Amino acid sequence: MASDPRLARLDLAQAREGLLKGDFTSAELVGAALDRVAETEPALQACLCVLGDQALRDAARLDAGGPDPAMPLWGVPVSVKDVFLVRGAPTTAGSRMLEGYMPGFEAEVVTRLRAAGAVITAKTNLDEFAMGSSTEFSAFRPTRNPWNLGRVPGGSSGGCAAGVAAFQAAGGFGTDTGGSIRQPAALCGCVGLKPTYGRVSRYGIVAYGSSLDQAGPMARNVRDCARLFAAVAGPDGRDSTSSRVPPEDLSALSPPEAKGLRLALPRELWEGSFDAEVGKVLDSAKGLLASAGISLETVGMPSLRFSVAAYYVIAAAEASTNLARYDGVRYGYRTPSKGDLLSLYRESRTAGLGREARRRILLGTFALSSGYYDAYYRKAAQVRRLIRDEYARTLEEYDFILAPVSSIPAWPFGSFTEDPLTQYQLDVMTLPLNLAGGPGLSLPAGLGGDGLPVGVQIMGPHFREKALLEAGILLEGIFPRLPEPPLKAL
Amino acid sequence: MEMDTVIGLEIHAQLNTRTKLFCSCPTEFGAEPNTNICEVCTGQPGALPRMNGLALELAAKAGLALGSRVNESSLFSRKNYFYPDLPNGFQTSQLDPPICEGGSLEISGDSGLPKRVRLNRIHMEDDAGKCVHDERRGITLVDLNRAGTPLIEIVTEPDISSAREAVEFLKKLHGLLVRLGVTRGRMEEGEFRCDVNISLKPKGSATLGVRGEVKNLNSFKFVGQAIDYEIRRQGEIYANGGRVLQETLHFDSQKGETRSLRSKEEAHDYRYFPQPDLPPVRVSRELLERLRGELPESPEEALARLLAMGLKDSQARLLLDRRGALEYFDSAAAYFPRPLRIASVMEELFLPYCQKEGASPLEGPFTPKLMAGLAKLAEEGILGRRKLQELSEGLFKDGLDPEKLVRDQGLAQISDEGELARLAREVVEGCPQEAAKYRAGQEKILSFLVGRMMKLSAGRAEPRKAGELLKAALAGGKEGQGVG
Amino acid sequence: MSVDPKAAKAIADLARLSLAPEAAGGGGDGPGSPGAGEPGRVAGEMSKIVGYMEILNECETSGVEPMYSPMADPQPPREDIPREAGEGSGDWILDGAPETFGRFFSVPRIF
Repeated sequence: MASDPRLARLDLAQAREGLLKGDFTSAELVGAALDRVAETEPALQACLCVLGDQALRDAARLDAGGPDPAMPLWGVPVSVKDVFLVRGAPTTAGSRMLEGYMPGFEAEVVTRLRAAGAVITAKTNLDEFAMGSSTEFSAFRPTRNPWNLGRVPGGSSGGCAAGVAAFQAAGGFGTDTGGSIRQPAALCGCVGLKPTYGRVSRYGIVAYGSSLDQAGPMARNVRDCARLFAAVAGPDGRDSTSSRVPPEDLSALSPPEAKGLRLALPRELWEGSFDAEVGKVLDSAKGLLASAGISLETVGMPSLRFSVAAYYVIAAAEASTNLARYDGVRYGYRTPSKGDLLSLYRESRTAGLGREARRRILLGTFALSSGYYDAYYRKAAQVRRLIRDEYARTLEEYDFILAPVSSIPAWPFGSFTEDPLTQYQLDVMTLPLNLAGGPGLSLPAGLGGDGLPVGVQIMGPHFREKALLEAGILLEGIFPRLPEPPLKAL
Repeated sequence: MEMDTVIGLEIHAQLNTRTKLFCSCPTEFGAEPNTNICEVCTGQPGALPRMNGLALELAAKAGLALGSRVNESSLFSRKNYFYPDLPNGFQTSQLDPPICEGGSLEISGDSGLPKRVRLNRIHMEDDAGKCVHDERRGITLVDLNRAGTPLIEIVTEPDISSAREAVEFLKKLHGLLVRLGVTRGRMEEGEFRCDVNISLKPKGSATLGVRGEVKNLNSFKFVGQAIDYEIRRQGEIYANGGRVLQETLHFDSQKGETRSLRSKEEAHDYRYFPQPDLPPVRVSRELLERLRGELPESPEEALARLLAMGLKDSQARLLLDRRGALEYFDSAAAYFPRPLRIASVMEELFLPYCQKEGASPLEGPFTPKLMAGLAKLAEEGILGRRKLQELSEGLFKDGLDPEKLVRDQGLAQISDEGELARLAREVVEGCPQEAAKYRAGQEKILSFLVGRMMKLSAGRAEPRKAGELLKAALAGGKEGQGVG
Repeated sequence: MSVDPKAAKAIADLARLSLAPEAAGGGGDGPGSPGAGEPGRVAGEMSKIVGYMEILNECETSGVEPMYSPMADPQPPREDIPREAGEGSGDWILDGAPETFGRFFSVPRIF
């Protein structure tokens, strides 16, 4: 049965209006999304698991009860990155290690999405354990960028970004440890929000870097992002690091006046070398903002120079012990060869974990090991405080920090897979925010001459997502609207 | 060469909680394997720990009772190593800072003088699961019921000099922690176990020798045996000019000897770092005050309090020395606030009886409330000393209510002076010879007359009063007649 | 600082990973990717990354308190109340285990 292809293209506000008015049912809307998945998956490979039957059953159950205006996401299809545990669906985190893992509990984000009436349609592809910026480190297959199938979608939430950009779902959830929401959103031309650390529960999300990980929404516009975010934000007793700061009321968002808005542009992020097309889009974006009356001022945040090193020490250290549980004893991949305990560990972990995961485990093990802890891990944690303080100081003086998301557009497959250090350095725009813990919103600033989208990000004070989203709505209105991605190899 | 023994202890006590340290699984012992498990304590992907607030309070309480400094903020760290009973690949423990630092416990030293054993620290951590080795099938079986059980580790300074001192310290610590409710302390279930670090050094030398670490001793007896064995073993090595190796040892309780646990594994590097999934552990001033209020007083404080009440030093010390005696005394005194009377009844009758029976005061049928009643009868002179002595065993044994007994059996001492004076005259009349002797100056004969009077009154006459009235009767008995 | 092959091997041992090429493969690398690499290659790669990390030494941090987490006003400890009987039964965990014996997880004999 062919569904109406226009249904899949509706944004959340339109979908909600149609659902509540009874123009179409949740089953029809979800069906359209699933048809779109079926149509685009051969090209994109954005999903690791499509929850077709389960999603249609959930939609039918919602339809049977009739539209519920009290549920902010009633009946709409949403995808989640395959690090969120979903009951009844396997969770792999993009790793052979967890192939076939069926969780007996569910991520708090997913529980809240369901409570808000959302229907989970797919679990999307990612770099293994969210370690990567291209989704090429997925143990299963790479995801392709809908703007150019020969390019990566970014990562690690690349499957989510590609799927949302290509209308596979109205919105999706990713996780951002060093830019894994904002960067693929930028590379795929959608909007992504990394909330403040502690704003969204990490319970039931496969961990990478526990003090850096934060889940957040991706959508095709800022208001949709806000809707998705509002449904999941707030304290959760099962995540001890979840903040008790009360969530903001996001039911009414009004963009601020452009005039008088002051954005800080950190020199350390704007004065590097950029791809020519990216540079052009960024320059034009700055011009548009300035002519709208927004004040753009260059500031110095000197500690950002150390952010890549500090980030990779801390993230790898945390990852090395978060991934120690994958030992082949209680779940996950276990080597078939019969040896002693030590070889069970070594063989299961070496074969079950991919190259990038193993690389970061080794790096983190080194940074924490006796004799190196102070020079690496502790030192990085000190630098982290300096970076956080610089963010705070800058945001005392300015409304937001404006920065690029990536110095290059979506790149061809295989560009950096043999050069990890260069790939790490590409994260320089996004990862400082994870060290600082604050919220950031990435949104499209325009399309380069190469047909690839370019994004910018704004960053604001901790737990002030509302103001950030409202500023995002303002910027979104200033920047050019992107066309539909072609889903072709250019 | 004469050697000194230097011993430090690391004690693991399971905290008396209903749930595990970081999840709501029960901590009950002896459940079917792998039934008290969940996503958190089996290290499932995405699971996160949530601290048990009671565990924190118990750990802080132990510190307060031991005179430790309780840190307002302490940190959990991950201690990383691989073992099948360790589901996350790390143990969640406290490195720096731990919840409590410093403190001490007094024992009687080998010199005969009191000795303070200093504590280095007390920290919280979660227990591992259990491995059962199936030799026949060549497999190791893993049960994670115990994984995540809350423990405190108490680390002493190397202040202990002998097996006797170590055992006394442990018994005292065990008693204190059990009394506080910090641990149930059931040693056979591993709720209180101990690692012993022991080294020898030439007498008077300041530098410590190389130490052996005997792991996981779960009885006081084994601690003593293991220490004595190590003193002998290390002493012989030194005597033969050898070198003691720093190693981990296992105590074989069957053979009474220690054995090296040397493994092929590489040296440990635990890569401790702050556990990012847990906030710092906060102990607010308010919480600390509340916990302090819940603490039983220290022996020193109790002694001062008892002496201030007017108890004799020997009585006060007796109450402190006998297990449960002080608590018994305090609750009896709450019913009848004449502490001196209660203390003397306890000292003379009740505690000797308890000791003879090997019973703890609080466990027997004679409750503090009954004791209060008994003391009241004595205080008011209703039961005389002799009668008290005579009745006590029966009362204590069967938990009888003394006031009811006195009522039912008419045992009350005769306090009616007229009645007593009548009895006195009767005695004097019945013993003319003795009366004559008394009047002739043989005053000692009075005790014979008192005895007769007691007999005549079935023991209900108060002896001192009886003496006075007899004297009056012998003198002519005018006052007595006047009253009658 | 550079990581020599012996050091790389020691780190891999701590992490329970194997560096020997023959023990690798079959897992996450996917077809066509080069092997996990022998100690020499891994040591070279680590040296490069760790060498880059040394930029941290250029940052003046004396007297700076390390920041281990950005958490703010986190959750208080929970109450000591056991989960309901039957709630969160661990059976799905055993059912998902790669090897069990009765109600136990099973591993090769340790001693």
